[in-house]
Amino acid sequence: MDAVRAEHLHDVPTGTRLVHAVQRVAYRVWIALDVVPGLAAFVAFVFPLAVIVAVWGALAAVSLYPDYLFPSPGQVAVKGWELLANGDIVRHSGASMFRLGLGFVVGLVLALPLGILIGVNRTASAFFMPPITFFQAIPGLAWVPLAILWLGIGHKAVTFIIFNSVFFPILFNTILGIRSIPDNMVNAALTLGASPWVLVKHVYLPGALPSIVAGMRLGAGYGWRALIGGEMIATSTGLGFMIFDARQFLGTDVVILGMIVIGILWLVTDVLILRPLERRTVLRWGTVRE
Amino acid sequence: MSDAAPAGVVVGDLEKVYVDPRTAEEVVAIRGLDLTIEPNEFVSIIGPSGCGKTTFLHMLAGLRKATGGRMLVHGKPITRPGADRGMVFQDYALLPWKTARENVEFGLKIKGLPAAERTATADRYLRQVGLDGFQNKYPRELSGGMQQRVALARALANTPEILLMDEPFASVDALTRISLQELLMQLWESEPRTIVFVTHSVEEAVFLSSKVAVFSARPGRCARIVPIDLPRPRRWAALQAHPRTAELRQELLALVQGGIAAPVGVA
Ligand SMILES: Nc1ncnc2c1ncn2[C@@H]1O[C@H](COP(=O)(O)OP(=O)(O)OP(=O)(O)O)[C@@H](O)[C@H]1O
Ligand SMILES: [Mg+2]
Repeated sequence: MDAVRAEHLHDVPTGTRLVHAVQRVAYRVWIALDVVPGLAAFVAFVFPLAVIVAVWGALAAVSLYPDYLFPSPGQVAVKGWELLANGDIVRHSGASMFRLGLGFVVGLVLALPLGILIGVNRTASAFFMPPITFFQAIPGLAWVPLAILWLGIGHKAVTFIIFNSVFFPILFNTILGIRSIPDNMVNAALTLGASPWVLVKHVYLPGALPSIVAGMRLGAGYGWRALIGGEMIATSTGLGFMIFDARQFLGTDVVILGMIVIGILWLVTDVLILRPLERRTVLRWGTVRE
Repeated sequence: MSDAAPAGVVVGDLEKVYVDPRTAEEVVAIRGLDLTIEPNEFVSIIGPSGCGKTTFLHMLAGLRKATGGRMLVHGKPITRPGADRGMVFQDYALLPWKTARENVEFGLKIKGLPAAERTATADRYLRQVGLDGFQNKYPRELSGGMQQRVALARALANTPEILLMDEPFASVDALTRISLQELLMQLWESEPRTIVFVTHSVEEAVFLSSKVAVFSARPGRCARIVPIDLPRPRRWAALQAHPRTAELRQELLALVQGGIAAPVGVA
């Protein structure tokens, strides 16, 4: 037996053996990193990004473009330090996050009751669904001209645009969540004497919650995209404005920096707030639907 | 004669027509249904599939509206669902985000009972159905039979005047079914109340009931009432040996299979 296996080992081409060796080392590193919880996963996430930065640096070095059109990672890092020190990044990020939060809250507060009403009531559904289906087809950014004319340049216009992007995913997911609650769960509550308000609080809301939270995450994502677009046109603060404004002075380093900040902020929001929220509701509610 | 409202349930010439909202096609589920249920009577309804048994229970509960005829509970027409008519569903219909205890407490919470009293009552009923120690489990952590016990405890804890049960033991295994049937008998014999119980099982109907209403094939109506004159308390061991048991089963089976209750157009 052993002889056969040994022979077998002998037959393995050198290239494959090299790959195996690398894999073993990678595995050791992985195990070593795992001492700190989550570190291995973090490294696994960052490593490919580091490769991209390396490629970017190499391209910048050999690039035919001048530095002011294709800045190197180092230039962007220097710029990042500068804007961090003078407070620009914090100011613009703050403005963006504030608008996202506000638009999100307004969207949620309006979409939730309307979604419940439409999900529960056939007449309301018949009345509201056609206009909702129509407006849903209009991208949030198409509202920019009207938003500027109605609300002026600034927070209000951008918040309105975000609201538009957040509202529909939450609305549709709420309706879906309500409609997927088995009839007999509602019937059981009714035969126990439940009033409409008790039904909403104890059956409809908890029953639809996993779907609502999924809608919130989706809505926040759409809102974030609309936010950057809206800020390019309808305001003079925010990350969208920052990168669009920098373009005028050929500030490509600021543009790329802004893009990186946008990506990081979204990831942080998603990983720290939205995903845990989604996981918690799905976990707690478990197999809600049989 | 008398001004006093008749106690119990009186159903007269009841009709239910379903209309398909898209095709406007009509299905007459129930027509000409007459049935009287005395207070504290245990009535089983048996009949071919699709003859309107679930429809009838839902109308008694006030979950669906009749399209014709009368339905009176203590002389008053049924207009909406209420805590006076509890229901146990075939698919349990527990709320998955509530624990066993919270499910049982739900009706009492709606009634506005203080928390301590609610918990004590819920735990007493859970103990009665043999679920002591499972108060804090979620439905998904319980077996089908255990979930159905929770549903039974939930309906009982709310002390409805009338308990409506739609094939409650159809989806549990045979041994669990027998223990649930005996449990229901013990509970009912110690604390009688009106129960309307839908079943497909002739054995079950004979074991549990004071009388059995045999429904005809669709459109459903009450084709025959068979009183079950078996002694109480009812326990399986004693009843299997009783000569009347076999006779009553034969009689009901003949009614369901042949003649009046035969389903039409069923292959
Ligand atoms: N919501 C509904 N809309 C339209 N038709 C319905 C509806 N519910 C029931 N029906 C029809 O009414 C008839 C009676 O249905 P019901 O569910 O009351 O029968 P059942 O006696 O409980 O049958 P089973 O023994 O199979 O449970 C059936 O023909 C069914 O198709
Ligand atoms: Mg049925």
